[in-house]
Amino acid sequence: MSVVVAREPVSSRTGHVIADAAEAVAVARALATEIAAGAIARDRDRTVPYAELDALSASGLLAITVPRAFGGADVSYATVAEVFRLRSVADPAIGQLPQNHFLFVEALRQDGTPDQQRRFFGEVLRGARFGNAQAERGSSALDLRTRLTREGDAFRLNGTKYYCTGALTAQWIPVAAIDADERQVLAFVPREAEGVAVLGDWDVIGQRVTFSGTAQFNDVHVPADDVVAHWRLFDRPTLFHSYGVLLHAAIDVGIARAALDDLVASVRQRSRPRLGARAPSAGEDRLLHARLGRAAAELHALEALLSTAARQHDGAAADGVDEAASGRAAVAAFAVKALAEDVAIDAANLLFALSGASAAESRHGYDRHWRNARVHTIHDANDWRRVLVGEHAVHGRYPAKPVRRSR
Amino acid sequence: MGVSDDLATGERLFAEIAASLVGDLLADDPGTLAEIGRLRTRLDAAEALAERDDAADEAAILARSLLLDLFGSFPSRVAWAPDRSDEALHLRHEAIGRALLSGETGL
Repeated sequence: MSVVVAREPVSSRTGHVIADAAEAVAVARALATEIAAGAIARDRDRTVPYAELDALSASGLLAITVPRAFGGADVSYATVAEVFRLRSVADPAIGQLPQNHFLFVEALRQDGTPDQQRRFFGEVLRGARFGNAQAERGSSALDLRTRLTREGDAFRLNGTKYYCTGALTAQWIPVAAIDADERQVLAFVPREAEGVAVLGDWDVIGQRVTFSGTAQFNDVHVPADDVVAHWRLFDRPTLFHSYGVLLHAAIDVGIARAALDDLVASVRQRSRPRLGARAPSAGEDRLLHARLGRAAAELHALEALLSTAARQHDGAAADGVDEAASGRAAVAAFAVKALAEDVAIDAANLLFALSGASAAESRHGYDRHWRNARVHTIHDANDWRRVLVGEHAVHGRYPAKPVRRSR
Repeated sequence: MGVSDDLATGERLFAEIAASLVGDLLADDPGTLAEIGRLRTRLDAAEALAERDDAADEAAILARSLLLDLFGSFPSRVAWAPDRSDEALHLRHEAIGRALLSGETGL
C-alpha cells in the first residue's frame, strides 16, 4: 500500500470563469479532445492525472454550477450532464473524478451558510477541487463510523473512508461524519491538513486512474465554520440524490459512445472479412452491419434519454421540488443509469466481437471500455434499479429516499 | 405505421400490462417489476430519440422492436399481433450499420 503525496494546492490560482451553458459545452469539447489522447497510456500506466485535472480546474468547468450571485454560470442539469458525457467519452476516469465535486457544490448550495457559500464557491471559482470521502468499508451508509467531536470552539475529525474518488487530487475533502448530536455533517478539510492521509491503494481492473481508494483522518482539526449541516438535506424533498445517479449515468453513456467510436474506426480500417464471414470485405459484412446498426440506434436512444432525464431535473428545479418531483426525478435517473449499464457493457463487448482477433492487441486499449464500464456500473445492482422503475410504473410508488443516520 | 403510431401503440400495450398487474400475483414480484422497468425505460428512450430530427429511422426501428418486446414478455396481457414485416427488422438495422460504416451518416 503506497502513499501518494498530492502536489501544491491549486486554490490560490485564478481560474477561468465560464459565462454560460454554451461556453461550458464548448470548453468541455475542447478539453475532451485534449485529454483523450492520453487515456490509454494513463490507464495502462496508472498515472495520477494531475495535469489533466489541473487543466480541468483551469478550464472553469468545475465552477459551472456555482450560483450567479456568487459569480458562477449556474448552468442547468442538462448542461452538467452533457459536460460529464463529453469528458467521459474522452476518458471516463477524468469524467468520474469530479463527480462528487459537483455534489458537494450542490450540498453547499443547499445547506451551506452564506459565509460557507462565499468562501467555498470562491475556492471553486479559482479552480479548487473537492474530493470524495463518504463511504466506509465494512459499514453501511446508514451507520457511518467517522466522528466529528467538539474541541473548544472547533472540532476533531476521526475516521477512515474508502471509494474516495478525487480525494487524492483534491484541494478540499468534504468528509461525511456523524457529530455529537448524531447528525450527518460534511466537514470540509484541506487535503494537506495535518492528520489527513490519502492512500494510493486503488487496485482495480477499471476506472483505474480515479484513485478511489482509502483516505484516513486522524485527529484532524476542523474549524466550526467548515462544517456543513448536511443532515438537513435528508429531511426534505430534493434532487440531490438523483443528481448523483444522473451524473453516474452520464459517465456510462460516455463509455458506451467511446466503445462504439472505436468499433466504427476499427472496422473501417479492416480490409479482410472476419474468418468465416460470407462477405468480400469487412466493410461489406451484412451481419456486421446489422449488429452495428442496432448498437448505434441503442446508443442514440440512450443519449436522448440522458438528455430527457436531465431536463426533467431542470423542470423540477424550476417548478419547485416536492415529494412527487423528487420521486419522478429519481425514477428517471435510475432508468437512464440502468439502460446506460446495458448499452455500455454491450458496446464494449461488441467492439471485440465485430473487430476480430487484432482487437485484442494491448496497443489498442480496447479492453479499457469494458473494464471501465464494468467497474463503474457495479456500484449498485442494476436489476433492482429496474425494479424501482417498474414499481413506479405499476404501483405509482417512488423510490425510498436514502436514509442516513440523523437526529 | 409510422414511429408515432408505434410509440402510441407501445404506450397502450404498456398501460394494459401495468394495469393488469395491479392485484395480480406477480404485482410485487421483483422479476416482473424488473422486466416492467426495463420495458418502461426502453419505451422512454425510444420516445426521447423520436423527438430528435436526425434519428427518425432509428427511433422507428426501436419503437417497432419494443412492440415485439412488450408482446414477447407479456403475451397474455396485450391485445396486439406482430406483422410479417417485423421478421425483417434486422434489415433495417443493417441499413443503419451500412450507412454508418460508409460515412454516409455519423455516429
